[in-house]
Amino acid sequence: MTRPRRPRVLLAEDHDEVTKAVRRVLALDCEIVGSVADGKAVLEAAQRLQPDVIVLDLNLPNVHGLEACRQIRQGHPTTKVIVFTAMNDPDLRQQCLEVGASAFLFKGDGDLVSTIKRLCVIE
Amino acid sequence: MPSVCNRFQWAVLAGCLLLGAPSSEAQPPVRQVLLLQSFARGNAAVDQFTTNFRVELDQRGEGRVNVVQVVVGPTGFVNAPEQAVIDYIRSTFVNRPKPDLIVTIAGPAAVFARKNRQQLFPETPILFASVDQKYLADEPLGDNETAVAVVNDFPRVIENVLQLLPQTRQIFVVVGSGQIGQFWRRELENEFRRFHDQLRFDWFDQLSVQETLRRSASLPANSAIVYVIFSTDRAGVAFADERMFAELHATANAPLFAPISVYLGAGAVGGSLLSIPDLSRDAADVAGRLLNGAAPSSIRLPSRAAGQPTFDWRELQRWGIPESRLPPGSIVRYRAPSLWQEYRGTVLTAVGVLAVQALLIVGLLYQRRARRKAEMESRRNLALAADASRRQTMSALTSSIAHELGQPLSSMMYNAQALQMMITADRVTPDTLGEIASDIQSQGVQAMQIIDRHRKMLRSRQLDKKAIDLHAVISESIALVGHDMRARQIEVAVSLSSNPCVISGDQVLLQQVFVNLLMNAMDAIADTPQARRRVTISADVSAADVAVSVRDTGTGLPKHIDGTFFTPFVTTKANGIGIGLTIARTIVDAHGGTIDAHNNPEGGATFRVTLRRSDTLEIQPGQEGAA
Repeated sequence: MTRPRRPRVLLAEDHDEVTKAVRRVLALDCEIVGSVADGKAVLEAAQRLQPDVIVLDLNLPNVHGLEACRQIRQGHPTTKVIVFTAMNDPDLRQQCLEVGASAFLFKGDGDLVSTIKRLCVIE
Repeated sequence: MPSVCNRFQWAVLAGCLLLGAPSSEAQPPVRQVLLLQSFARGNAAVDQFTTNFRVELDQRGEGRVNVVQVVVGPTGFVNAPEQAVIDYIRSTFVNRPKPDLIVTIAGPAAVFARKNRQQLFPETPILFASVDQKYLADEPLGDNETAVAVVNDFPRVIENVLQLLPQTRQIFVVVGSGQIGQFWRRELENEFRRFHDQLRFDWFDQLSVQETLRRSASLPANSAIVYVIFSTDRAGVAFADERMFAELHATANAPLFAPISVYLGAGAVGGSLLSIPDLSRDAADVAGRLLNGAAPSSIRLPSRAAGQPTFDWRELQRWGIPESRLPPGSIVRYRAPSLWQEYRGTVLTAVGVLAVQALLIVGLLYQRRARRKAEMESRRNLALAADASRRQTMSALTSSIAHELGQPLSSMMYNAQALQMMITADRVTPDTLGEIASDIQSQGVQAMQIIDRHRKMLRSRQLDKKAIDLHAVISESIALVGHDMRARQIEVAVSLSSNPCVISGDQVLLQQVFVNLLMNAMDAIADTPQARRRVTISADVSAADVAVSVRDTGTGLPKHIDGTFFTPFVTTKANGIGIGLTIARTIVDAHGGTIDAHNNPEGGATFRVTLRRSDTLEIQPGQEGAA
C-alpha cells in the first residue's frame, strides 16, 4: 500500500499571525509549498508551484481574492481553491462558489485540515 | 488803650455828602449814647450783643445817635487806674453834649458805672444790659436806672450734660485766669456743689492756652467740658473766645457745652441757651424808649432766662448722642441736608441713569443667561449629534470590525488547534509550546485593543480636552478604517513625524473627525480605478500649529456645493444625510481650530484640519491619546 502523498498547499493570506497559525495546523498533514500576502503574488505562485490546494483569503492587496480565484480556476482547473475569510456572508459564499471555489471556510469555524484532505484524496 | 468807636467822623462825612442837597426840614437832635463795655473785643457774647444792639437801635429809627464805646472792665488791657478811665470818658464829652443815655454791657461794666456814678453824668439815665439778676438782687435799681437782666443758670447746663450723657463722671470747666476767672470759679464751685455726689469738677483756670488745649486732648472717658469764658490766660494774655473755643473744639476728646447761644454752630453740643440776639433786642427796645424820654423807673423787665433747648446735629453725631435723649421740644440745627434736599436735580438724573443702567444690566444678564443656556444646549446638542454621527460611522464599519477582530481570534483558534494536534501526535516540544502560547497571548492583546478602540468610539461623551499626541490620534483613526481600506483595495500613505505632536484636545472626538475624513476619502475614490486608489494622510507641523491633510485621488469636490461642504444636510452621497462634515467642523471649532477643503490640481480633494500645538502641556501616561 502506497503511503498517501501529503497535499501540497499554497497559503494566500495577508495577516502574518494568521498565516503563522495556519502553517502550524497544516504542518502535520500538508506540505506548505508557499505563502503569499498579495493577490498578484498568488496568481504567480499558483502558476509556478502548481499546488494541490490554495488557501485563499479574499482581502488581498492588488488583486481581490474573488478575482484571483476565478483566474486560478481558469488557468489551473485541477488546483482546488479554499476561500478562507473572516466574513461569514452567504452571498459572498455564493459568489465564491460561482467563480470556482471548492470550499468556503469562515476563519475559525470549520476544520481546514479535513477540508483539504477531503479535496485532495490522492493515492 | 480803651477801645473807642466814634461815629462822629462818619456823621461829619455823611453831612458833607448831604450839603449839595438842601433840606427844608429841621433835623432832630443827635443823641449821645455812652456804651460801657465789660470786655475788649474777643468776648464772643459781648461782641455779638454789641453788634446786634447797635443794629437794632438803628432799625428802631433812632438813626441820629452817636455811640461812644469804652471798655471799662479789667480784661484785655493793662489795668489802667479807674480814675484814668473815668477822666478819659469825661474828656470825650468835653466838646459835645453830655450823653443822653448810658448803657453798660455785662456785669463788670455795671459795677464800674455804679461805683463811679457821681463822676459819670449822674443825671443821665442808665441801662444795665445783660447783667446777672443776682447782682440786681443785691443792688436794687434806682429811679434813674433800669436793666435788661439775665438769669445765668449754670446748674442747668450740668443737668443738660447729664441728660444727654448720663455716664458722665467728670466735668472740666473752662473759666480762664485773672479776676474774671477767679470770680467765675468761686461762683460756680458754689453752684455746682449739689452735683458733687455724682460728678467731679476740674477747673481749667490758671493755665496757659497750650496747657488748656493739651489737657483737653487727653481727658478721661466719660468727661465733658463746660466753657464759661477764657478772657486771659495765666500770663494775663487775652484770647478771643472765638479762637479759644475753635481750638478746644478741634483738640478736645470730650464734648463741649456752653450756656449761651453764640457757641452753637461753633462746636458746642447745645442745650437751653441764653439767646444773645433776644437779649440785645430787648436792650435796644429799652434804649429806644429811654432816648424818647421814658423814665427809667417806668421800665422794669423780667430777667431773661435760657430759651428752648437747641442742639447742633453735627455734634450729636460726633459724640454719638441719640436724639431720643434730647429734652421734649428741642430744636436740632445744622442737620446735614439729605441727598434729596441738596441735590434733587442731580439725584433725579442719577436715579434715572441708574434705572436705565439697571434695566440694561438686567437685560444683559438675561441675555447672558440665555446665551449660556443656549451654549450649554449647543454643547449638549453637539455631543448628542457627535455621538449619533460617530455611532453611524461605526455602524458602517461593523463588517470591517468583525473582519478585523476575526484575524486575531482565528489566529488564536488555529494556534490552539495546532497545539492540540501536536499533543495528540506527541510532537510538541517546550520551545514550540512556549512560542504558540506567546502568539496566542499577543493575539488576545491585539483583539482587546481592537475592541477597546471601537468601544471608545461608541461611548457617549462630552468634550474632554487633555494633552494628547495628535500623531497617535491619527494612527488610531487609520487603524479603525484600515480593514475597510484594504477591503476596498485602497492604498493608504501615511506621512507623520516620529516625534509626538502635543495638542490640547479630545482624542475620541478628533478621531471621529479623521475617521469621517478618511471614510469620505474612501467613498470619493470608490469609482477610481484600483491602481489609482490612494489616500494620503500627512501632518505638517509648524511652530504654533499642526495641519493634518487627508488627500484622495477621487473625483474631487463638486462645484455646485462649493463653499457649503460643512453646511448641514449637504451631501453628495446617495445614502448620506450630510451631517458628518458639519459635526467635524463643530468639533474642530470647539478645539479652536479650522477645517477647510479644496480640490487638488491633479485631481481629487484634500481636507485640512489645523489645530494649535500645546507643547508646553505634558501627556499623562496611560491616558487616551498617549503616545
